[in-house]
Amino acid sequence: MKKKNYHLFEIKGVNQERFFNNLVKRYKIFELDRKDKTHCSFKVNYRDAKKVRAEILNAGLTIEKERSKSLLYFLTKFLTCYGILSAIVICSCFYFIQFSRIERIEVWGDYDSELIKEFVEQNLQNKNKNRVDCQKIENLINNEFDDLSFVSVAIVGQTMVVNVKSSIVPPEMQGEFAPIISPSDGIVREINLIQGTLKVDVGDIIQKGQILVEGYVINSEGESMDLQPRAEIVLDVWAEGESVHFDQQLVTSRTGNKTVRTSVTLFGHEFYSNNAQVQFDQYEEEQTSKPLIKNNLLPFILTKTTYYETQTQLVVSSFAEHEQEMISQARENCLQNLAEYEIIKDENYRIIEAAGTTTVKYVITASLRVVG
Amino acid sequence: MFNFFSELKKIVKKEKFIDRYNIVNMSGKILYVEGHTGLCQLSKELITFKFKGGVIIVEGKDMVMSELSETTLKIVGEIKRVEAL
Repeated sequence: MKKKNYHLFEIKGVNQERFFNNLVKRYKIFELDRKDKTHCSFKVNYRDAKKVRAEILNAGLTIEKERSKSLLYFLTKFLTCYGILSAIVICSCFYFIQFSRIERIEVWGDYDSELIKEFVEQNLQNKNKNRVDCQKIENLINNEFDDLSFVSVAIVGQTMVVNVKSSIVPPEMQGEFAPIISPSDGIVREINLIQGTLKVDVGDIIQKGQILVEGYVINSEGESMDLQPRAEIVLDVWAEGESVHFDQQLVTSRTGNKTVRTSVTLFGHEFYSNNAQVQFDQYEEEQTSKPLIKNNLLPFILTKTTYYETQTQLVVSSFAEHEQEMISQARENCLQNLAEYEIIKDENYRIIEAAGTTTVKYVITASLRVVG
Repeated sequence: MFNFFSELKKIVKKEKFIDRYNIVNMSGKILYVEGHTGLCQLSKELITFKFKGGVIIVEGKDMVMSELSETTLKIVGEIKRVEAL
């Protein structure tokens, strides 16, 4: 029987019988041909070739020639000798096989892409690029989705690009229009109406949320026609702020003395504490808790409670000393109630004195532009 | 399946030396041997190998060791004489 996958060795050396007797204990030998006393050739299985070569060299024999014949040898040899060429061949084969297929579907546009992608996948019977009819898919999408104004399908590389655009409904067909509403209380100072029906006049005092312009017009035939209200209305608005000064007041402050109490708890049960005693008459306390060990097995909690000693004093001060400060504070409070886009036109304040207290009331008049 | 050597061994089972080696000579072209214990001499004209308790000499022309394993071997060529010593 002829050996199909073999490795042929031609060796040179003496005492070859002993070498073969050792070799056959591990490997099978074929076609052993003794040419003369020092030369012979033999074949072994291709998979044993490497080990047999080592055995030959260990036995002190010389390898004169080697030859292999097997599919594995052929492939290995081809890949070794023609590495780049074989890589190009393999890659080209892979490329030509996979390039003819559609691998991805992308949906561009302002429509629900997942919905269209799912629909295309359902209707894409064959993923072979040459067999896909883009025009047919376009028609299918157009028939399925009524609210699309534009559909285009194209294959770019291995991606099917579906470009869609939803129908644009003109504002007149969208139904009711929201009226322009006053954002705050104020007086109407200026009106510039573009379209719509005006519901206020210059000089009217208006409330927050009141309708300024309605989204309809009455045409020459007396019919009501809906449209988007457009106008520019300038309002005068007010913002108020106040600050209160007390002639006498009790002020509590920390003295700087403190006591820290530390405890360790497990599942709510305290089993360690430094037993710090609080000696202060008045105090404030702050508490912080954090895990003692970073594990979930034993969640020890370290709690640190700090007691700060405090004292209360009666502070007497006159309004005259703090007048400017109180006015500034009232103005700050007033500005906080004013929107950023308002333009300040005027500001004033008044001081109201009562028993033991003085109140500064600050008023800012601003111009507000309502655009719709 | 019929096993020629097993049947022969059954007939002559009393003989102790029966398991030493088996040799089949096929028309003087192929020689199959079971039970060898190692090569002694190898050439195209003369192949000698050991068995348990002796040596077998094969003489011929253009002989090639077609297969060789630990206990079996197959010689292909023109086999003229096989002698067990």
